[in-house]
Amino acid sequence: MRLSREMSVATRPTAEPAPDRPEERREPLRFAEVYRTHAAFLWRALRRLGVREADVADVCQETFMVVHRRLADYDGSSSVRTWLFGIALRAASDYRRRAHVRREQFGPEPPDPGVSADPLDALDQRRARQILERILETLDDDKRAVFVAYELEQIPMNEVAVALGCPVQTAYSRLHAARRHVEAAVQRLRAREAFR
Amino acid sequence: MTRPTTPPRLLDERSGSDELLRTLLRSTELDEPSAADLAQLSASLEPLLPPGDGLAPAAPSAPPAQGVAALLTNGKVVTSAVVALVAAGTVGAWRYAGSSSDAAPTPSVVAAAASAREAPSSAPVIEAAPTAPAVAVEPPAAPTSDVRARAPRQPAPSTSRATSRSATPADEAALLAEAQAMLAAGNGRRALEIAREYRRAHTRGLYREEFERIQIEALFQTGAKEQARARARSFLQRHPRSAHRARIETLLSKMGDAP
Repeated sequence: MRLSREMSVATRPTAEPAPDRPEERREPLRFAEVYRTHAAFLWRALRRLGVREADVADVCQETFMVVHRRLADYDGSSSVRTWLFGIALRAASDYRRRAHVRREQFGPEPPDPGVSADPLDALDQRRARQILERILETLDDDKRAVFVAYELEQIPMNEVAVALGCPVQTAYSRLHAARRHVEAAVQRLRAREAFR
Repeated sequence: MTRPTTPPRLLDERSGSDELLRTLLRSTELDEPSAADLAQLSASLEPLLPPGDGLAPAAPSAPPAQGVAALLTNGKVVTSAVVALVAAGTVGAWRYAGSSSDAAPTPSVVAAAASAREAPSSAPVIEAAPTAPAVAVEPPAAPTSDVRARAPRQPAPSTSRATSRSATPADEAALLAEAQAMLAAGNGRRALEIAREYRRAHTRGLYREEFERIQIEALFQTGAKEQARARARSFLQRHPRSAHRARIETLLSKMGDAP
């Protein structure tokens, strides 16, 4: 686990989002620049939006192809990162809808958190990630999107609303609902472990 | 209406969130791509990236394979590590089954194109077969008179690269960038020429929708508004889920046409 943590730090792009403010950008986007600056962001956003580890390389490549096609559509009304997150949302949604993405094709499922043999205090990072994924999977798409964008990607709420194409108030409502849902799931997990 | 106060993020201890929840959220550190993952991604996108541009996003100096191996648990094999160890440009057999207008071209096409670029330059140039689907659903070609007068009957010199079957997505992308630049510079006539050149040479091109959009905008820019309107309506009818829908609808509304 220690090694993987070190890797995650080591591979973090040096240019990681200094959230480029829309008003500061006037020149056309260059694909190479977008790729170099945001590749890691797009990769992890896709993972957090539900793309399986085994598929994320494929989906990330496909998403960058879409980005390449849509460069001219970027109008500077939001940050590049927010714009990319919106594209990632759609890519992840398409991924989940694809016929070949079925649970039976994923191989062994991670163990259910509720029947875990691991004590909570021994949760390793990998297992924690599996549990979190299970919880996030129970959120609907809209709530998951706002939860991932705000809580994990640390995107400002007004930009989250832009990426989701909804009013800020709606984004806040979804965030609160997602939080309640996730917190309740964690409480249930804790309660089950307490009775073990 | 008062704007809601931005709540502290759950990862922030000051949010008062459950410690277990914060542990779970911190585990998303694992979502970062490894150096091997990024190398694989760069290789798979190579046709779209200019060579020698130092494009690999921030790779660590440590050997990637060892680190990736540490990410393997429960006997599960992370395919990206294996692929990255093989070499760049060997990604194959990828398929994209999406049906939306945002659907990306199949990555296998990209990989194949990368291979094609390595083919000897003396390879014979084969004219693209005149398959028609993409063109057949177009409204009747109706170039503006001014453009017709100026547009060359024969393909422009740059077409030689595009008419070859070995043309890569990078070739197509270059044409797209050129057309877009012409449009942005207000040279709608040249953008139209490039768009027509593309459609002649790439009946199954990756960027057909993009060139249709450029053609519509270029027609509008050159004053051929009726033709732009007709093409725009046709486009929206044929591509209701296109990523360019909003843009074309905006253009239509500029022409006083409710989408």
